[in-house]
Amino acid sequence: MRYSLEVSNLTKAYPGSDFRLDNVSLAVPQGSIMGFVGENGSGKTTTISCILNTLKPDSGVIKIFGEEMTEERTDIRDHIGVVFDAINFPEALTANKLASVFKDIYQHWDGGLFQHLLQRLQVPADTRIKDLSRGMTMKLATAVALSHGAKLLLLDEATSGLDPVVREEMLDLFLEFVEDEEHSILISSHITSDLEKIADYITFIHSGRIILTEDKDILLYQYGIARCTADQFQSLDKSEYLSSRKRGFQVDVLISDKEGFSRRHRDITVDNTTIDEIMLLLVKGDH
Amino acid sequence: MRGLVRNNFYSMSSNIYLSFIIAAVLALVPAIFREALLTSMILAVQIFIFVVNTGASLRIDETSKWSKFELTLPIRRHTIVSAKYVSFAILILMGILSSLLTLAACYVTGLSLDPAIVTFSYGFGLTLAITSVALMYPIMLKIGTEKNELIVFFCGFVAIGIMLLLAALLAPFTGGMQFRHPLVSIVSACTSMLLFIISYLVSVRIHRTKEFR
Amino acid sequence: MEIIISNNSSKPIYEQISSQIKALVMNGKLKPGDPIPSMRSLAKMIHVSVITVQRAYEDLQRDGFIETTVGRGSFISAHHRNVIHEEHRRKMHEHLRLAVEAARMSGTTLDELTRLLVMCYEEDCQ
Repeated sequence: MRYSLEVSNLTKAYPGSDFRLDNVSLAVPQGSIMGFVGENGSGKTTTISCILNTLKPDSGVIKIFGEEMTEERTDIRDHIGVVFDAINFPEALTANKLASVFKDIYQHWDGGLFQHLLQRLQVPADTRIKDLSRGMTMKLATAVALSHGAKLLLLDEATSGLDPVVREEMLDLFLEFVEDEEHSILISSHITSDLEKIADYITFIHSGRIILTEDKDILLYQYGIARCTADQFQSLDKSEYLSSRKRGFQVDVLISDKEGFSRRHRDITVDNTTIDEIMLLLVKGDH
Repeated sequence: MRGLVRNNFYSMSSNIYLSFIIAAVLALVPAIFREALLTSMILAVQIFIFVVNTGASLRIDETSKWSKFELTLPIRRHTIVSAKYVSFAILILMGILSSLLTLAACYVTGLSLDPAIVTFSYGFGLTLAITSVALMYPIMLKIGTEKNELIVFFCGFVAIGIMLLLAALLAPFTGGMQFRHPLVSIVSACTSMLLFIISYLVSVRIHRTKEFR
Repeated sequence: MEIIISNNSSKPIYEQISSQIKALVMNGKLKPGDPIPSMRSLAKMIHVSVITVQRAYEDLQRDGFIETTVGRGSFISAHHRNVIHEEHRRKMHEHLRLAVEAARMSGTTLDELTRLLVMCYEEDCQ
């Protein structure tokens, strides 16, 4: 299995702050889309910043396309498309001016593709970036990321603030991107329904720690939430579940093998689950 | 680097147009008012005016996170710094060119200018402009761009302070401390150019390890 | 090849894909040797993740409905005749098992159940 991105034991502490990344490890297989899920402040942006060397890790190894990306490796950066959760670009420029800047910076800048994407995403090419809405700037940033021959996309909340119509268009673009099996995407998002549609793997991060990485289909179809009475919950063995949470009269229990659990406990209702619910139970539940 | 320099100028384009218009209007003033001190002040201002907004420009780079995004481009970190300094130099050149308009206006209207005054004007203007950017950029790299207006003022004052210091040091050669002596002007300008080069090296160093959240 | 995906179904999407393709094969709309879209292009066409289509194709391959060769893509298997037969038998077995369970729960005897079966086979029973 070849990996586009491998992060091993990444640690980063901020002096004067409690927050730290604690042994963060994740790996994005080539040709796949990995969703990165976590609440605000959980470390998603810090992780992505460390991967891109805008922050310096305290320890850990980061490999992109199998190699460590040091400051000198401009050739590697040439193939990484980035969208940060910000305006990203100088506000006084227009999309067209930006294109003329990037033409001289990226080795494989494709101006024609960029114009096509601007049209497809309905981003006005001659409006100043400071006059664009947040959604428009994210669309512009995505268009840039897709227009320079990138093989890996690192997207930090690239679809937040966009309406469903536009988000659908973006998701299609991401699926088109991975039609090439050497292309991969790491995308962090609050909009877990988007990830449920197109992600192959989901990684959960909380308070600077990775709490789970799993196949998306396993999460959606093998994981489940057992709705137990207090007595039923007492009867469970600790090894049978990942997390539990008392909600009023019932106890919600996160299990990783719906079928097996149901066979053993025919009287307990087991629901299908969503990424949001898994996240809630992992973060707010008792282990 | 060409792309980055182009980007810097696109970013500052409205400020550059404004500076140019002000400079062009100012160019006519000496010819109209025909006063030596006024003329020398205008020449100095024209040289300085193009760099006055660089602080605000750096501020916007930071808030939009462009200075973070830049780091993900296929360029070396020192290229980013080089592009900035090249841009500063071009801005100062623009200032010098617009000051030539004033000289031309004076020549055309038959106003003769004392070479000593012209030397002082250029010396003062160049020292002010070059020292300001030379100090401002590394300071902002180190402590951030939040107080950018304050920092620009501070740098301006330091520039004047340097000229005063040099005037004092050169007193033996200029017959007493003479702020407006041509020698002081020339040495100040040269000192500021030296500062510019040192500033570049310092900035490359600071930027190399700077973290961008 | 039309695949319709229901997001609200409790049936996993990879199962929806594989059972729809199986159905198309069984009623002859897809014939042996017919090419089917690559995993990745199908994923894009129906707006689902690649890993989902991959799982569906793996299941289809395991059950003998398709063959995938590197570089040439995926095709409906030429050897599927037995497999379709198997698939039908599997379905039959499953349905009969459910019928037996229902019969047991309602206290129906084997004789009564057999009579019902014969009736259904010889005419359309409601």
